[in-house]
Amino acid sequence: MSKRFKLSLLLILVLSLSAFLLFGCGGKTETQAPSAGNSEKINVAEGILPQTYKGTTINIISTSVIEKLIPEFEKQTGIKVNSLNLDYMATHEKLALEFASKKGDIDGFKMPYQWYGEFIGSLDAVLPLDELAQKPGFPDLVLDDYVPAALDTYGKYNGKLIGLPIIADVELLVYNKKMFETAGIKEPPKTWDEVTALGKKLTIDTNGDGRIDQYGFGLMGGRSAQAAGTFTNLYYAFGGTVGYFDQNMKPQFDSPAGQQALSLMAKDLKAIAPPDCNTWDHPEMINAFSQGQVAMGLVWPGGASASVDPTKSKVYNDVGFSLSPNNSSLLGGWAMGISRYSKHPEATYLFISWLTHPDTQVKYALAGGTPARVSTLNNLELVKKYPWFPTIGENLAVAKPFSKLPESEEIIGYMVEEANDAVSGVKAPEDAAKDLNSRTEKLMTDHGYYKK
Amino acid sequence: MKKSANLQKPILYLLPAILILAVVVLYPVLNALYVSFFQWDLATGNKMFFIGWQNYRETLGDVYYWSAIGRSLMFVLMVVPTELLLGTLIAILLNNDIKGRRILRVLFILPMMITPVVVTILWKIIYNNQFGILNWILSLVGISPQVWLGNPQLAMFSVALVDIWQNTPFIILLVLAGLQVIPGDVYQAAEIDGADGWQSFRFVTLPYLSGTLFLGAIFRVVDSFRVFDIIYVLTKGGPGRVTEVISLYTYKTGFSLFKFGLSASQSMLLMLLTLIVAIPLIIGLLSNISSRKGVA
Repeated sequence: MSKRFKLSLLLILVLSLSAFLLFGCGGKTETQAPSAGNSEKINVAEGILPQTYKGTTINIISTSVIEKLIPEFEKQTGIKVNSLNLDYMATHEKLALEFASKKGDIDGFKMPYQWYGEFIGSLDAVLPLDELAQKPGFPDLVLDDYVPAALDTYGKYNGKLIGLPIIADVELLVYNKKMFETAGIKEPPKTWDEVTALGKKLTIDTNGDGRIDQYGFGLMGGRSAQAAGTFTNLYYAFGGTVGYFDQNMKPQFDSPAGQQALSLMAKDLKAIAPPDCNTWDHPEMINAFSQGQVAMGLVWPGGASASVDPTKSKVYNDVGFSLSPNNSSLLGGWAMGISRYSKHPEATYLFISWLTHPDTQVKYALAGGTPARVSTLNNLELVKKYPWFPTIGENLAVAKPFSKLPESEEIIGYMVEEANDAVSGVKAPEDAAKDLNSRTEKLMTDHGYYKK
Repeated sequence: MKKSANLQKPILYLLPAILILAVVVLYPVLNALYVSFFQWDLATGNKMFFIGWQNYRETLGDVYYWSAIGRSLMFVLMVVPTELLLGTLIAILLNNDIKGRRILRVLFILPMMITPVVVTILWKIIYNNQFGILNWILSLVGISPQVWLGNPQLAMFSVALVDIWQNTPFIILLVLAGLQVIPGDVYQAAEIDGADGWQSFRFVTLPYLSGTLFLGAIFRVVDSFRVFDIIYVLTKGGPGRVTEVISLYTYKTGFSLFKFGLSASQSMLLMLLTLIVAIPLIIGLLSNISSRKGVA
């Protein structure tokens, strides 16, 4: 090899390596968080927060509502908050990868309680907050102001405080008062039998063109977590065991409750739902209800604000909320947590403790969020604006939770597939219930639940 | 000695690309191969256990994996021949002296320039049962609205149509380039020999285009065999499993069920299958090139 060639080769190698190092490892502008423990006065209502972490950058998985509040926090603290607004499945995926890589790219995140078994019990990837809560220099947590079920279910795991509840989620029945009135129906249904009976009356052709353009029920039967949510709500409504298992950890999907739930979805509710409901997620349900395409449906409070917003909804004046049928509902719910691998746990804690503070929660609710605090849910001004707030309390009182097992998300995935199979008509509901049961039992066997 | 000196410059110029490829392609593939021999399951703790060929045995015995492979093959058979045929026809049409040729060329190539996710969202709106333009057009001719993405009989056809719409321009572009290199005198000679339009296409255009079409087929077979974004956004594999092709199934194993080892073994087998499909096409392309060189 000539000397010139060797030199050129060396130069290219050096340049390539530099470029790799620059793009692979560079670009981090975050400064190291200074230690906590400052004596500055804190007053969330007046916007006085400590400047201890000024210049720090934190990365958060949040929601569109939280994103509206971030500029205020940035202004008050000098902390830069990069927000990722991801949906349910994308959040799970992002967090699982984050916890597998342990890189600390994500500092704080929203998390629903059904992932706790996996992310806390199994991976120990969420930072307990008890120690941080004792430190000075952060807003008071005011724990006694949380809805007790929310604090117990989303805030704690094995007795430790691991998250600050941010969304008190529970499925509500939403209905169109005007459509009910036109059909001569006086009050919302109290049982699932009534839903199907009233739904038939409400599934009609309103403009006389020979085609049905109003449906009785908006069924979320697509391949999204909502199919599992609807199934679970029905499974509990028909008396299914809480958490899907009996005392021997045998799944109960093939029980009369499971069979009845899948059959209701695939036959009775499908018959009174728009024909493409087997592709629906929550946004499709909210949209169809807001456009006056469906008369009833199950919704999460997060979507409720869109249905009463005159800029987004044609039926904003006619929206009614009620207790989920059969006096039973499904408990959802999210908390804000901190990654064990975060490089800035204290700055992140400042953010989540500020975000969930009672004073910030009023702004959060006004921005369209569903708070988990008693004071916010009972705030008369807010109740006037968001009439479903009292219904949240009623539903929370009868709601039952998802499982918190480490396998929970995998089982939810099975539920989505089997429910979608049944609603799409590619599998009989009885077979879907049996398959759901056998797949879950195999999973539990593989994970050693039945070893003597 | 002279030969090796001649090779120095090409090696030098190729080195940065080879280094980048090694980092972004070779390393992930080798890492996936390594992971495929481990049980690495997030639901049971973030720990890796060496289990030898167990993941491969599980994958080979998994009926859902094979049915997903079957659906992928069906998808390839639906889209690739259609794209090749349509693309060639449109390219020949655009190669003629027709009015507005330049504008038509831009319009036909446009779908290829749009990000697949954006294309897919547009089609999701087009397919909408209640407000979609497709059902509106059908209603004008008295056909009742169809549930394009929710009907198990129609869903695969609907996703294939989006792929055809987006990727036919790629074939158009290739064939148009291929048509430019056919010398005019070959057509003149054919004309003197008394060849009609079809005969000059069959015996002049097609042989000249065969290399281009082989290349197009390789790209499209490999690409459509691992189609992901279109189906993920449109149906997520539904209704039921009707559109759950192999890349979606592998993705689900890795990123919904978080069985990284099993997912890696599925990916390695998928790579093997893709190579089995692609290698005959690559051999065909290479022999086509060498026979062309022989002629020249």
